[in-house]
Amino acid sequence: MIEFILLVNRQGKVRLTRWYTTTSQKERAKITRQIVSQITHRGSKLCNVLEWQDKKIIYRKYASLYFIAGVSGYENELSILEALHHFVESLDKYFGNVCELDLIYNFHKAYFVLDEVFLGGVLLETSANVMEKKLEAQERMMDAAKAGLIDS
Amino acid sequence: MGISLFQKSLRDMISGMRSNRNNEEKYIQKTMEDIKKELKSTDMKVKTVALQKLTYLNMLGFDMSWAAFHVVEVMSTPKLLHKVVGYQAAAQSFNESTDVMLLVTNLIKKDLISTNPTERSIGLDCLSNIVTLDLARDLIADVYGLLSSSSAPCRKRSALVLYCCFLKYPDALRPCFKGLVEHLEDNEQSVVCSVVSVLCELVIRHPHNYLEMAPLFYRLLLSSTNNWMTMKLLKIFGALTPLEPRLTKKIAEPLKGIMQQTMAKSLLFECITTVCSGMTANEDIVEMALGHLKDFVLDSDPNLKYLGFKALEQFVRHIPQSVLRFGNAALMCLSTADPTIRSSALRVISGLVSKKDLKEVVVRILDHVPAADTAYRNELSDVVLKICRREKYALVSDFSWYLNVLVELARVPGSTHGKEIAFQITDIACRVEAMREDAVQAVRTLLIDPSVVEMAGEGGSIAEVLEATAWITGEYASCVEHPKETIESLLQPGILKLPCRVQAMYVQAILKVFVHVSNDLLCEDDDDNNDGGGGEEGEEDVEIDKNAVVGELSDLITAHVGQYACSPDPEVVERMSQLKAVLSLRTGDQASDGPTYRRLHSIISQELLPMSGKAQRKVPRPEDLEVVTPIMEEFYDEDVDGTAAEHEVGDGEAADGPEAERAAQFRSADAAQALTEATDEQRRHAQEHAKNQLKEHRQRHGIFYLAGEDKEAEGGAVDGDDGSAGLPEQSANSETGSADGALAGQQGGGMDSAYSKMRKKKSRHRKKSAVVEVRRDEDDGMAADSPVKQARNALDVNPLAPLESGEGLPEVEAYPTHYGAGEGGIPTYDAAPTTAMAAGPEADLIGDAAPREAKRGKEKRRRRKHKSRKHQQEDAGAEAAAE
Repeated sequence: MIEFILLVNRQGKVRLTRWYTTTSQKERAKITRQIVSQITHRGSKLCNVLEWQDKKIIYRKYASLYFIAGVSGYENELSILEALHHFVESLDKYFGNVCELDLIYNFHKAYFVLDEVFLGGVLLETSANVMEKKLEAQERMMDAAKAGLIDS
Repeated sequence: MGISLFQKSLRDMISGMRSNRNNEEKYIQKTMEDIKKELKSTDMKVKTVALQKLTYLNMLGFDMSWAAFHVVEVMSTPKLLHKVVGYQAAAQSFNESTDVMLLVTNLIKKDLISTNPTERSIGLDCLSNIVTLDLARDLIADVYGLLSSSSAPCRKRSALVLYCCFLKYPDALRPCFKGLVEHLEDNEQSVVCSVVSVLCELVIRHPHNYLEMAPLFYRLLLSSTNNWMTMKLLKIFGALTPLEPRLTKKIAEPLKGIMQQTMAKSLLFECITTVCSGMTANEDIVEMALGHLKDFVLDSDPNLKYLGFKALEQFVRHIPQSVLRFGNAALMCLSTADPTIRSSALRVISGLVSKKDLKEVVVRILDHVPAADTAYRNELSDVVLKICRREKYALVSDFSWYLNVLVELARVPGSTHGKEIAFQITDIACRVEAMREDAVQAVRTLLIDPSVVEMAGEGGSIAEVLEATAWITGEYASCVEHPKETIESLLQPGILKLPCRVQAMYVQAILKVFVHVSNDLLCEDDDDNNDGGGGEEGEEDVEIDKNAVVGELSDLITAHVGQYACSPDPEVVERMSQLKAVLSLRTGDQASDGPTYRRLHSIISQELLPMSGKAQRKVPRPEDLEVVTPIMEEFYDEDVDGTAAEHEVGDGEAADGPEAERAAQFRSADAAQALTEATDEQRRHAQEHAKNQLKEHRQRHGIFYLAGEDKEAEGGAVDGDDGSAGLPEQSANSETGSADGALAGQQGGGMDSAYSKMRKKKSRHRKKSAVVEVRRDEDDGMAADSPVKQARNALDVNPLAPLESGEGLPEVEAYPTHYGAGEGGIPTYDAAPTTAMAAGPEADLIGDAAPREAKRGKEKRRRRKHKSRKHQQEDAGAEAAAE
């Protein structure tokens, strides 16, 4: 299963994190620091998998952002890379040509997308079309809620 | 409402952080203070925005556990927009130690039974992130209920959340399992997919439990159109096939079909992984998988290359023969820039290498060393060392070549493998006699190279190699071809920078080489079987020259060895002094020097053989070795324990040692016979001996005997009468003797021969201890209650006392054979004497706890007696003084 998902930029600033296993705040900070320092120093021509402790760290760089997943040893690296790509595509569709700033200022929305793609460390929705429809519906509902909120 | 107007929104805060990059910490500190204030606000909107900001900061690593209650407040608002922020914050920050967790249970419960799909989904999402044992126990029923909801997304979600709950609350798995499996036939493919995902995780954890479900998975595999699900199913089979080899046959066909058809690399790779995890026996499918793997390995995409090698590592482990063809590809990969791929390729290589191609492979690995960075260089060295050492150098056929490889590896800059290299060089030199000359030659290059010493002086593990180098040169000095050059290099000034341990080894090596060479040169006439070598320079020359050579070497050493004098290490200084002393023995005259060096040489030339750490285990255990028996009993058990006793007593009266020992031996043998068979003749014989012995003793130690004691002691010894008071030692002995005799008298016969043998032994103990006793009692150096003392006292039976026919001696042990648990582990000596006496006879037969009691009883009496004896002695002493 996926144990955590991290989004960091080239400078190592965290943009999004989600931990699917119980870890303390301190541990999270430590793991993040270690992994980020390793990954940001890797050249672009190297493979996207790192063996780290008993886990595998699988990452891919999109523009200025690293999408990192820490997974159990038995996971298929390629399928995780595909899942990460699927997540990026979903973000792209939701924000429309997503960039780092979108994620910074709308981190809560990015979380919605993340929670639609992964749940409890397992890929939840595999179909891009279903995903798109769902996110649209979500967006509409949130807007409605917001409107209602403002009205009240 | 005022605060709301001036409140920074999330966007404001993030912009502020971005514009305050230089003093971000300060900015965040201030923001944090604001957030704390805003969270206390009664306005839900203010509170929500504050919480959202706090969540953002928490994501960056700032603590928000203090705001847990505020999170719950926001979670419980009816407005979805606020609620979502609360749930988001909870999902991110709550964990098992959060104390407000109890409050969350009902909130989530409400969401799970809500009719609003969004509420249900955020409830499920949040639960999946924060689930604890309590939450799982309270909410599992609701989650399970959602599994039969009419909405497919909800079913899908709840299946995954169920898995999260199982992780925390495994007991829930059994009741929910049937319902979960039913959804494998769900109409909605995505629900089936998520149930398969859950089952996949479960199967990987405990594959045994799910073997029965294989047919179900097989049907799904055949019907699956979704690559994600196919991958999960293949993963399940990958876990099941090692347990059930028959499955291999079954899924081989579908696997082949998938491998042929699929375009997706991830699926293809999953197929390969499945094959190597449990289907390596099926040649067809292995062949097919390896065919695809070749594409992976040769692909230019680093990911595919890496995965190819990872899979190869698995194959190498199971079927190395089939993977041999990849050896070359792996060797080619050693020059790639990617360390992960390189490491993987190295592992493949080390699994594939054979005796035949070892040389080639090692050479090709070493080719990469010069261009590599330090870490990679060490990795390469490590692989070479490990490959060659494997199974006691099974792959190495040419040790001479390998020794040179080792020397080459030692020179690798920044190497951390000095210890291993040193070990291997020493190991080979020790074990392979034919290689010693080569070893000395190989290390010579290290020895005479000042740059190596310099390198070692700068740190790094090569110093350890130099230590081994010095040792080999010294130990196998007979193989040294150029002694002068060797000694010169052993005296390099650079050595002073090395660790003291290494310096000491160098000094010792000088000594060994020098002595060897001198012996060769000066003692040639006597010893024609010299190893040669060493004496080369002067071998054929006249004596004067030989002497001169030795003199030259001696002067050379004397001139330089002083450099070690200031060493802080005592070992170095001591060895230096030793060396100097040996040099000073030289007189310059061959006739007198020859024997000196021969003698010295005989000291150092004894070969040190390698010894396995497990060697001791191979020594057969002597049958009569009693490991369990307490050590003090052994002390008496030895046939020559007279000496042991002497040592134990340690009072410096060694003069009578051998005599006492002989006497003890003699006497004990007789007494043993007397006690078991007890014929009149033997008894007489024993008595006579005893008398003689006593007399002898008295003569020698008359000073310890009181006047007039002689006669009575003799009498006591003869008739076993303990009525003779005022005779400290002898009366003690004789009393015990009679007491034991009485004890023994109660015992019935019917003892088998083994038993009687044992008793013979025991009686011997007693006998000897009595001898010791005579001197022991004067030994005040030992505490009255020391175990040695007590043991001795327990045994001081008078063995000279004759036994009635059919009378046996009681079994008395110095210590119980093992300290019974019931007795508190350590024997105590407080048992009442009366019970001991009563228990005596019976105990002897069963040989159990009771004899111990008996002995303890005796023990006590003995101690008392010892005290009184002491008093008596003192009194007697006083009397004597008065006279």
